[in-house]
Amino acid sequence: MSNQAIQEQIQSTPILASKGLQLIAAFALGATILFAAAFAQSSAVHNAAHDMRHSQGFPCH
Amino acid sequence: MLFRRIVVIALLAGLAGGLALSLVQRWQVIPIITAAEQLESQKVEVAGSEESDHSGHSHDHDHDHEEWGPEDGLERILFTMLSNVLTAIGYALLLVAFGAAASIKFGKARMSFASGLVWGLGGFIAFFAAPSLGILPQLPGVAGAALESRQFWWTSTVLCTGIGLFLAHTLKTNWRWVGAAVLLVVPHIVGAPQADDLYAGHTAEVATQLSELSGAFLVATGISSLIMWLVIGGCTGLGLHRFLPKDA
Repeated sequence: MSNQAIQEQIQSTPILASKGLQLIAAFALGATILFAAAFAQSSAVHNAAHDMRHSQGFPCH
Repeated sequence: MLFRRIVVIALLAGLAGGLALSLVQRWQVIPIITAAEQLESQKVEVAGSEESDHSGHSHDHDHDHEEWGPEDGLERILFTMLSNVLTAIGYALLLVAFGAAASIKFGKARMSFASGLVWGLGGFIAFFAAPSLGILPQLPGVAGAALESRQFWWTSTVLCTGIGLFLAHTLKTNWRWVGAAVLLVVPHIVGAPQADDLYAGHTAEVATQLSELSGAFLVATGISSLIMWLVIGGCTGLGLHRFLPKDA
C-alpha cells in the first residue's frame, strides 16, 4: 500500500466513540435533563416546573 | 453518527409528547391543581401563619416571598409547557437509548411505530404507574414524608421497574422472568415512605375535599401521562425505524 493510500485511509476513517458509549451518552443526557426538571431544588426552577412536577407525580415538596 | 441521530429523534419525540401532555393536562389536570391550591390557601388561614397575606401567584410552600415564580395566567402556562417538553425530551432520550441498545446490543428487532407504543407503555409503567402505587401523585396542600426519602424511593422504583422491563424484553434466558418479577416487586415490599398525616393542618372538611381531589388527580395525571408516553413511544419507534443507521 502506498503512502498516499494509507493517508487516504486514515483521513476517511472518522474517529467515533463506540456505539455503546454513544448510547450511554444519550442516556446520561436524558437523565441529567430529567433530574434538573424533576428534582432540582432551586426555588426558581421549582416554581417554573411546579405544575409539571405535580402532574408527573415527581415527589415535589 | 449514532449519537446525533438518536438525539434528534428524541428531541422530536419529546417535543410531540410534551405538547400532547400540555394539551391534555391543561384541560383535565390543571383545574384540579388550582382547586387544591384554593384549599391549600385555606389551610394557611386556619393556621393563621404569616403567609395568609400571600394571594398572588401559585402557592409558595415554605419558600420566601421574594423568590421568583411565574405569574398566574399565560406565563405560568408557558413555563409549564416548557417543563413538560423538557421532561418529555428527557424521557424520550432514555427510551431512544434503551430502544437502540435493544436492537444494537441485544439483537432485538428494530423498533417500529407499533412496538414503539409498547415501549411507551413500558415507560408509563416505570415512570408513572409503579411509583404511583407507593406515592400517589401529590396535590398542592397534601403532606408527604421527608422529601429526600420519597425522592430516593421514587428513583429506585423507577430504576428497578425500568431495568426489570428492559431485561424481560431483551434477555433470552427464562430466568429473566424471575429477575424482572423481583425487580418489579421489591420496591413495593420495601414500601414507600409515608406521611403520618397527609392532611395535617387542614380542617376535617378540607381534608375530605383534598382526599376526593387526590383520587381525581390520580386518574387525570395517569391519563395525561399515558397519552404523553404513547406519543413519545410511537414517535421514537417511527424515528428509530426510519433513521437508525442500517449498520447499527
